Amino acid sequence: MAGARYSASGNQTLTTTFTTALTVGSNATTAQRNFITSFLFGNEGTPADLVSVWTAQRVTALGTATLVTATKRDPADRVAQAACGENHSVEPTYTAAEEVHESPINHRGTYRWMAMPGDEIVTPATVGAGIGFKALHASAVTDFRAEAVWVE
Amino acid sequence: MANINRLSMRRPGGYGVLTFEPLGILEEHDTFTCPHCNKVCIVRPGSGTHRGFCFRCNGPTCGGNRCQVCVPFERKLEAMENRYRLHRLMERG
Repeated sequence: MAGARYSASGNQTLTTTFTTALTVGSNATTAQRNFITSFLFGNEGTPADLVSVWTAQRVTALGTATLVTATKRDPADRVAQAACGENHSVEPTYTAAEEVHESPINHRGTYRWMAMPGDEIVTPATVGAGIGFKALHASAVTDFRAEAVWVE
Repeated sequence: MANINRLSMRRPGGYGVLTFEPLGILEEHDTFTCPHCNKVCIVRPGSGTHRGFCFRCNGPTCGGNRCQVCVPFERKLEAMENRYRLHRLMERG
């Protein structure tokens, strides 16, 4: 697939309700499709032997978050057009029943997914549309992290 | 691809790696992307999970009720984008 490749990662603290570590979506002025080719989930610090369900789900609004500057995989490319955020204080607007991936993962483990060309997770070219990566746990309050790689 | 004899599918749409460092466990699996909803599904032979197959898209589907009828995801994306453009036009008046 032609296009520029970018990556970004974000973290968040586990709570008893879903909280979002990373969103990748179209910015407020210029919308484009984002093709997510890879993502990675994991926990930080000294995680215990517990399991969280990680969810990647479609969003229609990116919420309020700390801005993340996407890394250009090729330094010759332009700056990423997608808006990325971490550590959300206002959760994104998730589309019900639009989970694109769910994985229960031990806090001491990591999970990476890579797409074959043509089988990426695609987000529509509408402002605010994207993918959010979130998790929850009933008791743990450690930090968790998500990383995504996409083409735009 | 993951364990070519037992765990893989013929034409996977992706690849997942789960690592569990304390015990040195590494689990690898193939995935496919549903052509109707774009969901990433993990291939687990013998799991009993019911999936579907779309003969128009020529690929396995996630098996969800909404994906029983063939509406390619590309068409859904276009519908979302068309709705967005219509809203923008209406906002401008």
